[in-house]
Amino acid sequence: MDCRRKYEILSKIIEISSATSQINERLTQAAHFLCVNDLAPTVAFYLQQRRGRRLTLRIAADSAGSLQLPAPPYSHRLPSPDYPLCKPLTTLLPNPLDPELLNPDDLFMKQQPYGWSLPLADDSQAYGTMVLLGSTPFNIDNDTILFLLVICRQITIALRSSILKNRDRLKVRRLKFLHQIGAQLNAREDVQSVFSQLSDSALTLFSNSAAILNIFESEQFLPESIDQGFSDNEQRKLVLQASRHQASRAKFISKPLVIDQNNAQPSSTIYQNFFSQFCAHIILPLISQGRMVGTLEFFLTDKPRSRDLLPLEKEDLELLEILAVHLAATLERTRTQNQLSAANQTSILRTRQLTLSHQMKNALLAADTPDKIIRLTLGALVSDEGFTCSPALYLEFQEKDNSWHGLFYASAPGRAPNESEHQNESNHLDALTNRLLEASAQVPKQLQQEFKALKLVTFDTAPNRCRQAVNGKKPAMIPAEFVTVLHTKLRSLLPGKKVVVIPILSHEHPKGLILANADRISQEDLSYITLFTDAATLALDNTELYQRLQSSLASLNSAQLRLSQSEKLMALGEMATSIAHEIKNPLVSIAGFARRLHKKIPDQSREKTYSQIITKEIERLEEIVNNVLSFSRPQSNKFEPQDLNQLVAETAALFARELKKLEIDLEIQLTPDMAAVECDGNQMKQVLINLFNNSIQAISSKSTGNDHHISVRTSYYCDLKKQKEKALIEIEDNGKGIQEQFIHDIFNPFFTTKHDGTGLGLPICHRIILNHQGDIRIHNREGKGVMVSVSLPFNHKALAGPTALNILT
Amino acid sequence: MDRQQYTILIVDDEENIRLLYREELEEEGYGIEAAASGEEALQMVPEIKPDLVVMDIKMPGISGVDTLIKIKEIDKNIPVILCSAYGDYKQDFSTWASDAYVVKAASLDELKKAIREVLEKRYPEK
Repeated sequence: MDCRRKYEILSKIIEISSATSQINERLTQAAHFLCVNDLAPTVAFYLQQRRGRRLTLRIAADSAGSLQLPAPPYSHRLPSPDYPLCKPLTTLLPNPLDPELLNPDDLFMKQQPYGWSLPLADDSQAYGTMVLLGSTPFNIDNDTILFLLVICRQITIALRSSILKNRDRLKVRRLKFLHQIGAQLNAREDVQSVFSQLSDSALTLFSNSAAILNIFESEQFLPESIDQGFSDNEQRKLVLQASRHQASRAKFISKPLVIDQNNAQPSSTIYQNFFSQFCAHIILPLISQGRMVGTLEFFLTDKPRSRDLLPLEKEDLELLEILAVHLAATLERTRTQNQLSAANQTSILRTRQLTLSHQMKNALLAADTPDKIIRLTLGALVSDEGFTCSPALYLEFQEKDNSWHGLFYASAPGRAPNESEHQNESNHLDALTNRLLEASAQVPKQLQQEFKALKLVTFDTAPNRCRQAVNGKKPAMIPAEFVTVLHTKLRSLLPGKKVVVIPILSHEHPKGLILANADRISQEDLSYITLFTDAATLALDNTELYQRLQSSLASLNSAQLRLSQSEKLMALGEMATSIAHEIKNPLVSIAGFARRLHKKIPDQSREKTYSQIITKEIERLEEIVNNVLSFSRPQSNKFEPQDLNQLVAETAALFARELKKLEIDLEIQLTPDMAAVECDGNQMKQVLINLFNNSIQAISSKSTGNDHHISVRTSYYCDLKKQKEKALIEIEDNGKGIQEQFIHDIFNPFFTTKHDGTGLGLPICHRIILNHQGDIRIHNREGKGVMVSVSLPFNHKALAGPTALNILT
Repeated sequence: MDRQQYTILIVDDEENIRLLYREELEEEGYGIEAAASGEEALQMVPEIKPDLVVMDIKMPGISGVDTLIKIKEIDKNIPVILCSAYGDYKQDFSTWASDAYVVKAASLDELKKAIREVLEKRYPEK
């Protein structure tokens, strides 16, 4: 071959190899060109397709043109550094029987077993071999070998630049990808959208693949999966199986895990099926701050290009690792943000709840009756601005028979309170109170009635937790079915899944029970409810105290009134006593001498009548003085067992004559075998005498009718309030009765409606009976008569202190 | 009972009462002496040696109760009837030394009854 031709061939090869077309096309052209110039019958290039030790691409051509060849059924080994510059193929492939070097299935090589192999390599790297083949052995002289080496060098330069260009393009793609990912990660808040963008980008980078993102929740490995890029359900199923199969392993890896046919456990049937569709399963751990937050899995289906090599390079894995780091950071950030915003929302909610419960507490404390407090509490429980436990009901505990009665039933109003109502602070409390009261009244009448008829006879059969709530005085949540045990009707009144049981206490004793729907509240809400119901309990106690205070204030006022009156009376009494004493002496001498005069005056004279009048009037005067003295005299009681029947009979006997004269029937009904009453006999007699006197006077001053009668009865009864047996004396007349306007004055000393009365009869009776710890009552029927009942305890210890009226003496 | 044998000393600061008692009791047949105060009564008792003293309690000077005690020191056998407008003193143990206690009243029946009873008890032989 002459120099000129060599030069022409070389320049053509340079032209071909430095063209801009695809490298495979250029190689085919070069091979064809070499065959056309009779350098060999067939020229083939064995090339390394991706980085690795095997040559997997074969490009060949002969003088007719390119040979469409399948990829070699086995891989050629890449030339080693001590690879000879040029070797006849026979030395390289000396023995067609060597299975490692010559695959018997390679028909191409079988047909052309003779030839020469030349390295495609530069100083730093080997790229493949150029093989000159023929069906018969042929020789190449040294000049031609050198020439071929120059051509090889030229082709190597083209290969290298092509690879570098490819690599640059890949690098640019990766950089672009990274840039995209970065931008997406920064722009997106929620994991789902980040993942969808990310896997989109990744899928464009690694064509024909699918991805799954597993997010581990807290410390438990309960992955939440997001998947994308599956062409059909069959694939999806395979992928999920594989992912699940690796899930336990994935938790503990710290580096990307690549599973391909070479390292999958052969026993795994899952992967046998898997590799019919996919070529690799890549698991990337997402680690943030040393904590596993999830995994990102890729499933590559890059099959047609290679049967046994990953379509991945080291850089790709590194890229995926970077991706994983970014994704992990995003996940962590999203999680933190979620937590933060959740915490924020919770704190807003809590603030609202606290504010509300504060306002409700104020409303509670402003309420003045227990019923109102209970209704407010129910309103707060059911309303949407409160605890949203609608419906709620209140059962009241009745101590006398240990039963629980339905009292109030409340459910949330349909309408939400509008904001303007909230902002009107001046009457906010009233508005709130009204809203809550309204909420507790928003129940159909029929339900309300049905509920009010409800009665739990016993609490012993109640569910344990319910009983514990009542006994432990703490709210508790129970499943709603449990209330059926309390009462069958309760279930229909309390729909829902959970029920909160809230005992309402008053002075540490159960007062009632609130049952409310608890579907929408958490255990934490329960502690707020506890806070709130504690306030309700406090308010209840307060109202009770307030009412007690009011009543004791009222009784204090009346006591003060009585005291000031009795002070007046005391002064009056003292004055009356001293006057009475001063009067008594002159009275005695007047009376004495009047009597003496009366004796000396002859009968039937006018003077006799006068002196009689004087005597009579003095007797009246003396009676007044004696009454005054006996009212203001200190009482020294001689309590002895007395037969009341006998006292009544003796007193009645004293009046027998007078009654007969006035034609008054006396009816005496004595209960036989009455126990003796411990009392002062003389004082009791005085009481009876005064009462008889009053009755007789009431009858005799009545102008009409002639059926006059007085009846006296003795009996005994049991005072339920004081749980004590008491004796009872009743004196009834059919006289003129007491005018209603005077009824409040009859026990006041010196008050009288009679023209000759002292006004001390009933006050003396009153005081004596009070001293006996008894009770005297007037049952007046104006115009028809009066019944006076006197009740006395059978026995008692003498009073230690003075009674109110004793202050008089 | 021969009432003229008995001398009754009436002690009362009220002159009208003294006069009333004297007239009423003389009519009954008793011999009557009268003193206007406790001091006067104590002077008279050793002289006249009364069979009975009827005495008021509330008097200027020595009270009736103190006079009663002094009379009993002179002669513990002289019976004394206290006679007062104050019903309360009936229960007062310091008046228990008296042989009877009578509340002054318009009617003198109670006083007369008490005098009769005390005398009969004190001098059963007469």
